[in-house]
Order: sequence, then C-alpha cells, then structure tokens
Amino acid sequence: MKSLLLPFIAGISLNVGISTKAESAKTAELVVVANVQNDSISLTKQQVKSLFMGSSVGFDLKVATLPPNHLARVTFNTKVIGLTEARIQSYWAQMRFSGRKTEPLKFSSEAELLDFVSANKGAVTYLPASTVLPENVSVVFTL
Amino acid sequence: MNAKFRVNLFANAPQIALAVSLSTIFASSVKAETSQSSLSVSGFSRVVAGILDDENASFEGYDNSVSFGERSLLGVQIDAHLNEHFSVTSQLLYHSSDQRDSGIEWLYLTYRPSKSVRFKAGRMRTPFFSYSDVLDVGFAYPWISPPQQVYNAYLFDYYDGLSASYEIGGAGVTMDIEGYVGEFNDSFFIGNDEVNANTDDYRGVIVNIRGEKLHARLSTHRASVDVDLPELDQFATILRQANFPLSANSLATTGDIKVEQVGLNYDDLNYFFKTELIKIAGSSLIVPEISSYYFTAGYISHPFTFHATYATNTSDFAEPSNEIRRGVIPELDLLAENYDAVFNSLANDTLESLTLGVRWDFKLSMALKLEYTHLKGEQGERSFFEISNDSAFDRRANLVQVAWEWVF
Repeated sequence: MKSLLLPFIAGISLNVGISTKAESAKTAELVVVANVQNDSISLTKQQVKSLFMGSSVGFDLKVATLPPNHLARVTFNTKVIGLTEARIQSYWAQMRFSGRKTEPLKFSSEAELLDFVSANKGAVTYLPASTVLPENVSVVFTL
Repeated sequence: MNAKFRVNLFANAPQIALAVSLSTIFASSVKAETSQSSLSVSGFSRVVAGILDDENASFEGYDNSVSFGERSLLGVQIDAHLNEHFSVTSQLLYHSSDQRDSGIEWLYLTYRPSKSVRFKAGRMRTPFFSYSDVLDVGFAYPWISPPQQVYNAYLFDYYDGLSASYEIGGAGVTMDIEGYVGEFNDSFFIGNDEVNANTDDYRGVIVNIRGEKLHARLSTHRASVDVDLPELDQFATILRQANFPLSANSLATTGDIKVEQVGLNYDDLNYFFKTELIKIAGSSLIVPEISSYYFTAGYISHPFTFHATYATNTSDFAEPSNEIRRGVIPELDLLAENYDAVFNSLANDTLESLTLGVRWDFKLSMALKLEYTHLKGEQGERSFFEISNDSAFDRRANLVQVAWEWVF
C-alpha cells in the first residue's frame, strides 16, 4: 500500500510545485528595456503598445519580442497590448498583406533576446523585472 | 430546399496544390539574405463553402447548392528588401470566383526615408474602408463575408499611382495620415454587372487615430469616372439633338464619385465593437447615392470569437427629368418611353442583414469559421441578389458559410 501511495503523493507535490512556479511567473513584473544612450527616455503605456504594434513613437527604436505562448509574451499581451495572441496574429496579417507594417523580430529565449538588445543600439524589448541588465540597457517602462 | 452538392472550385485543383506546396517550400526555405538585401515569401489562403436557402435567387454567387468556388483563393506575397530604405512587394492571387481575375494584385516599390514616413509607387489596392485592402485575407477579420452593404460597393479594387503616409506618435494617441493619387483603367462591377471604366484624377486621404482601446478611421476619396456604355451615349446624343438637354445630361456616363467613410473600433481583451459608416455620391447616371453602415459586437473566449453584425443601407438613383412632354406626337412618346426604360432598368440594391458567426483560432496561423446571415431585401429591388424567378422571390434568404483561413 505504501509503495502504491508514494508515487501518487510525489505526483501531487510535483503538481503543486509546478503550479506555484507558474503562478509566481504569471504575476512576475515585466519591464520594457531598451539599448539607449539617453537614460531619460521614458515611455507611456500607450507608446509601448504603439511601438510593439509597429508604430513609430518618435524615438529610433527597433522592437524585438519573444515567440507566442512564451509566458512573458502572454503577460505583455494581456497587460499592455490588451489583445489575445490570435487577434495580434490577425492584426499582423492585416498589416503585412496591406503593405503597412511588418511583425517585430522574434527570439526564442529571454537570454537570446537580451543578447540582441545589448548588441544593437535602439533595440527594445520586454523582460522579467528580475533580469540583470547590462550597463547599456535601461528600463523605459515598468508594467 | 433541394440541395445538390457541387464542387466547382477545384477544376483548377492541381494548380492550387502546386502553388500551396511551392509557397510552403518558399515560406520555410526561401529567406535568402545578404547583408543588404533579403527576400521573403509569405501568403494567405482560404477555402470557403456556402449555400443559400432559396431557389429563386443567388447571392454573391451562392445558390441553393453547396459551392466552394465563390470566395476560395490563394495569395502569395513576395517582399524583396533592397536595402534599409527600399523594398519591392508583389502579391499574386489565384481566385476561384468568375467575378475576380487571378494574377498580380499588388506590385509596388516602397521607400521609407525614416520610420514615420513611407512612400509607395505602383499598383495597390484602394484603401476605401477599414478592410478594403485585405478583403482577400480572411484571417485578418472575424467574418467570412464582411458586410456586403459596405464592402460590395460601387468601387474599384486597385489603382496605379503613388501613396505617401506619415505617422505621429504621441504620449496618449498615435495618428497616421495617408494620401494617394492614381488612375484605374479596367472593368468593375456595378452590383452584378461588369462595365469598363476609366478613372483619372483618382485620389484620397485616410486618417487613423489610435488610442489605448479606441481606433478611429476617417477617409475621403474622389474620382472622375468615365464608364464605357456606348448605347447610352448614343441615346443621350439623340435627346440632345431633339433639344432635350436636361434629359440628355441626366444620362451622363461621365462624372465624379465621392466616397466618405467613418470607422470606429473598440478592442478589449474579451470583447470588441466595430462600426463603419459610408456615403457614396456620384454625378453620373449609373452611380446611386448610397449610405451604408454596420455594427458588430464580438466576445472572445480564447480560442473562440463569437460575433454578431447588423448591417443596412439605402441606395437611390437620381430622378428622371420630366422634360419630354407626353401625348403630343407619337415620336415624342416613343422617345419618352425609351428614356423611362433606361431609368426603370437601374436596379437598386437596398439590403438589411443580420450575421451571427464564430471563429475558432485552432492554430496560430489557422482559423475555422462558421457564419449565418439572414438577408432581407426590398420588394421590387435587386437588393444585391441575382434573381432568377422575380415573382416567386420574396427578397428574403438565409446564407450559411464555413471557411478555413490560413496565413503563412
């Protein structure tokens, strides 16, 4: 009986562990960071939304993002863009095939994204607030 | 309802299959890049089936047998980025409908001197209304058929010309303004009738204002149109020679068309509202004065979107002149009779509709849609239908469509 129960109990605790981790990541704060010389650049929520939807907001910034279904992207979509991923994809289809805007660059992990941002002047992205940023990358908006 | 199953789309199935597989190969492998230039291939496809529950008329090509051939299509877009500022875009379309030509739909050069300024030159789709330039990309909107009262208007699909746009980003709103000039020399559809037209002095301005959840689009368009209807021109000449200038002028096949549009969108995470109001006015005989609008409400429970749309329009042709006096001599009566016959032949398209639909985004780049539309036209009018049995048709019908949408 004991041997039968053990894996079951272990399974429960594992599940709890995963869901707790997911919960904490879900509620984790995100920051929008950019490789900009000028530390005084600070964006409003609307400017961040416009920027990630392909609009120009007056600064010479190049947007980079994470792939769909990445937790940070889901949080960003919900809190800043205010649209589900499906509707964002629909929006980009409209923009691309009407020749207006093209979707931002996508990187598969947060580490790759940070490498790109720190190596390219004007690059901008969102990352968990706990990310240790290189010197040339600064926070331009806190969610 | 005597429903027969008819597959008339894929008489050209081998070409579509080849194009799909080629484009898939392209999409996955052709992204040739050098340090300066790059080439990317993308595209969209839709397979739409529909049926109308009435045997006395058809609507947008749909009758009382299942048809795949009215809206199914495949589009491939090639973007060649020449350098940081210049790119060339071409969109090729294979369309299954008899009313649409397959071939090069867009071909233009883009010059972007800065992030907020864009110039384009070449052949482009006319951006009359919110979805006019992406009507073929079903993935871009919630419906299978965008409201016909607005999107089946008396207009031209594309123009050859120039466009310029400028974007201003503020702390609270983003605004962009776009202007274009060009010409159009091709046939177009007036309701269900195809006519040849030349337009020059074709121009428009579009302003988009985007806030956090609200998006407004305002546009105005003008064109001088010369429609090729030689028989009507000959009859107008006869009237003029008989000293009936008002009657002759009322048959003008040349004149201006003005189009005005206001669109409003409200987008929240779980719901949205959309409305568009349009007004079309023309100074030639064949262009009626049209006012149309639709209102859409949608609810999103990911991956499903449920939506409802009410759409309606009014459409009125100019009144005939009463210049020719009847009952004086038989020759004049005959002239008046022929003159009246021209006006009586003008088919009016007034329609009210209610659409209920669901979209299922089952994959990131694919969606399935189901849509039901109740159509209620006006007695004695055409109401966008192609009527085969006039006396038996009560101008009411139900249209059911299913669609598979894909972008790649």
